[in-house]
Amino acid sequence: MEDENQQPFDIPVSGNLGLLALGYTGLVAWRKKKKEVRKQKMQERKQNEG
Amino acid sequence: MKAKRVLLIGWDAADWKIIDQLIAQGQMPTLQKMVENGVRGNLSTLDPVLSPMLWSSIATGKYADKHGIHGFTEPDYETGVVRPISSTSRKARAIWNILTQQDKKCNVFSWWPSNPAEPINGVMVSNLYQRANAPINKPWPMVPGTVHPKELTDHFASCRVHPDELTAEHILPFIPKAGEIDQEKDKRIAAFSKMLADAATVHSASTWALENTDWDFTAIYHDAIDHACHGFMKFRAPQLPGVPDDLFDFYKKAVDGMYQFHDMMLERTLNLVGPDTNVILISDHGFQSDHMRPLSLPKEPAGPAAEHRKHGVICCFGPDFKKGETVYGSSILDVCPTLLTLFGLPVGKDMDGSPLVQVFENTPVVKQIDSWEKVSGSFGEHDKNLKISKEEALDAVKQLVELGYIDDPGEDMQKAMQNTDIELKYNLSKVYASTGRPEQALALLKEINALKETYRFQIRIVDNLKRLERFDEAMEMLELIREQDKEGEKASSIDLIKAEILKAKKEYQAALRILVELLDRTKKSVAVIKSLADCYAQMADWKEAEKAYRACLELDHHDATLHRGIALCMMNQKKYEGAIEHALTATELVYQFPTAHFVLGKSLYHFGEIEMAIRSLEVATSMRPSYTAPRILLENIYAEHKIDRTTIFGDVNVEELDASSLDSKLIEQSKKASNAKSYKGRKLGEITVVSGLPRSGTSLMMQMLDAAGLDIYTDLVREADENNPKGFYEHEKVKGLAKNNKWLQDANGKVVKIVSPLLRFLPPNFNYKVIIMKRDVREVTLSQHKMLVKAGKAEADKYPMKIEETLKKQYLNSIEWMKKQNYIEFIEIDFQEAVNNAEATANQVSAFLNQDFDANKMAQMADENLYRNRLKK
Repeated sequence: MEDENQQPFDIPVSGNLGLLALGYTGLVAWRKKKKEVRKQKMQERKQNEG
Repeated sequence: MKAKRVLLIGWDAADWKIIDQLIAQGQMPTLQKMVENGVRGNLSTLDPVLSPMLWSSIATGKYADKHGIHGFTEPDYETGVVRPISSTSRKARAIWNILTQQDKKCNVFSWWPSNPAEPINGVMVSNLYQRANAPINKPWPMVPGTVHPKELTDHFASCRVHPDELTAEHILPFIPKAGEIDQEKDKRIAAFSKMLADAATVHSASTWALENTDWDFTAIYHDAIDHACHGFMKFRAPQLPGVPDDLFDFYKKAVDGMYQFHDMMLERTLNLVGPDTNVILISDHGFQSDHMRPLSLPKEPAGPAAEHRKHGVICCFGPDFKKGETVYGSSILDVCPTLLTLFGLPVGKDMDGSPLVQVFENTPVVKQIDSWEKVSGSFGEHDKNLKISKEEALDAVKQLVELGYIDDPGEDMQKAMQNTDIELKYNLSKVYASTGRPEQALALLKEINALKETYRFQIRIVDNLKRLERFDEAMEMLELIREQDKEGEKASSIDLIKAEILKAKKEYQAALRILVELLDRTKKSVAVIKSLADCYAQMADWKEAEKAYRACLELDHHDATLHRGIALCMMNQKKYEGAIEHALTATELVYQFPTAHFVLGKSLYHFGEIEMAIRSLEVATSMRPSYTAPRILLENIYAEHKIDRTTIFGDVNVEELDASSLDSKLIEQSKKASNAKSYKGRKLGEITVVSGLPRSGTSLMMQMLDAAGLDIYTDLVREADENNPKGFYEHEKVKGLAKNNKWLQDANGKVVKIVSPLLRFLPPNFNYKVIIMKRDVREVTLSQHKMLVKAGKAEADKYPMKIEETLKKQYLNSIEWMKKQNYIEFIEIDFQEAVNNAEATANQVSAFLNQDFDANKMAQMADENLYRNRLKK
């Protein structure tokens, strides 16, 4: 995702109002980020357990 | 039109009072851009101020009695439940139905009420879409009927934001000290999360559709501002008495924050639609945000509506709208006609609003048809047999209970259905009362009061009886209410109403006695002082009245009626400058205020500002057509200054007026006046008028119409005599038309005889079909003269030569005047022709009235023997 200056924008996992205000695109991006982080955590947990 | 697409955004309860503060602080930059580059204005709401009724009026351009949505819920006797008001209950076509019939693609999101979604040419997501009714770890099914087309249901389900999905990042900007709040005890954060999630859900769905569908028209409705205001306005600064410090500190930013979030959503929406779209942003009503915030709410269904303010917002922005201007006198009824005009489509004559042509950069051509309801084709409507299941209905009721809009119907559904039916009729009675139909209001109120005796119904019965001038019955009812009030809790209110009735009866001294006594008892309540002031004013005790109005003004300086009252008192004390100042303030506070415009106009007239005076008086008459005082003053000013009305009310360019001598406020007022539209309110009906100069054959025409079977408005007071052996067909009340036109309601649908000089006092809230009799003026004069001689009021040998010319002018003036009135259709019938070729005349009249009369029967009325004062050719 890019910000208003076309710079890459790091989506916070806890979301923010700006993303909500972007509507569908913002919501999808936020959920994608949450999914990625969740997946990453699961992998980390697996690795730690392994 | 330059733009091909139209976006309509609804923000329930949005109010300029808050928006302007936030814009000034740079907190709503997107709306600021729209305001600066578009047209802004207040949007008058309707009574009762209830969202389902109002948003349906916005979508249809019609009052609630025509569109059929009368409240939040409705009884469904087939399933035995009380269900939320549904789209199937709407009996008038909405803008999206009309556009569907015209092959336009429409998207509609969350409009009140739109469940089940209508099968329009596009996407419709209903108002039961957004609300989460289960925890996040439980299934969250879509309410059946939420989405059209059904194939998109799963997709839109995924667009929803659950309140529990929100994090501290979303809540803290609104409630910065959320972490300090004990959420086990204080559920306000949970309530706020729901509102925010609702807004985000509708925004997510609508932005998807804006990006991914072809559309010509999109309508998006958000209710979060209204809900945030109901929940949190009491905590907004300045701190209200009784609001604890900690709650004020926690929640004081919640309302403003919700507005700011809407501005953020608006920015995204405008980016998606691009610059080639005409955008209209509206609200259905405003919301009290200052010292007028009520400290408690009425304990009745829809009680929260007491917090609403009468003016919502409108902002028009896009290629086809003016830039940086203000529109005055708009109503929510005007939105649908304006949208139709944007699409180049005709406005239904049965719509109660009219297009806001003054917001367009280039004045559009306004087309009209009788009614869209009569047009055939595919309107994307529901099958008339569509039923809503009991489960769906119960789910939806639960949502409204949670929102606080309705009481829990409880176990006894039969009783709940009856109560709901009563509430709907109560709401409808308010519609009737607020649109000048007290008799219909009264009938409904009596009906529901018989089922469930209730104080608020009884008080409104009294009010409508008073409006109908049935004072004895009003008093009787009031005493009955007093008897029921065993504890005497309502004694002061009852006495105040009694004083109001006495004032209406012109028994001022008796009213005064009650009010003076009440003054002590209520510790000088504003309502009592105001009533007292009005009483003094009605007694023409201008000094005392002014004193009382000023005392009230100390307590509430934003009350337009007080400024109007002071203006009236000052005008009558010949203090015209002060009167103008206060009348202007009154109209600035509430533009839709005909009596204030009248006082302004009359004061300006006495001050010597004739053009300004005429404009104010014109505004007063256009706002309330039945208001006689400004009309008569206007007539006098025209005569006095030899003014042709058309030169004054043509295309006035206020910039060309000599502004040097005028106060800037007056110039602004003048601009408002030039924007004022011709009468566009609800038409009360149609009246057939037989007119002409006295003795020009009007009685003959009345006889013919009587023979045709039409209903005649006559009191038979003036009996047949040798001048008119077959009767005069007159009514005593007609003579007083210039001063009192209330009786026209009784003449609705009937034929009434009105002499031509009185025609100009016909108010435009009716349509008229005028049959005007044309007779050689010398014959008329001769006939009138002979009649006067017989009555001993003229001498036989003194023929009034001069009067011939006057009568001729009067007749021509009436014809010219009628040509300029769009609410009058007329036909001239030659008297001589009517006598000689009666059948042809009957056919002519028949065609004019769109009726199939028995011409032969009518023609039999034309007795040539009665054509006595015939001039020899």
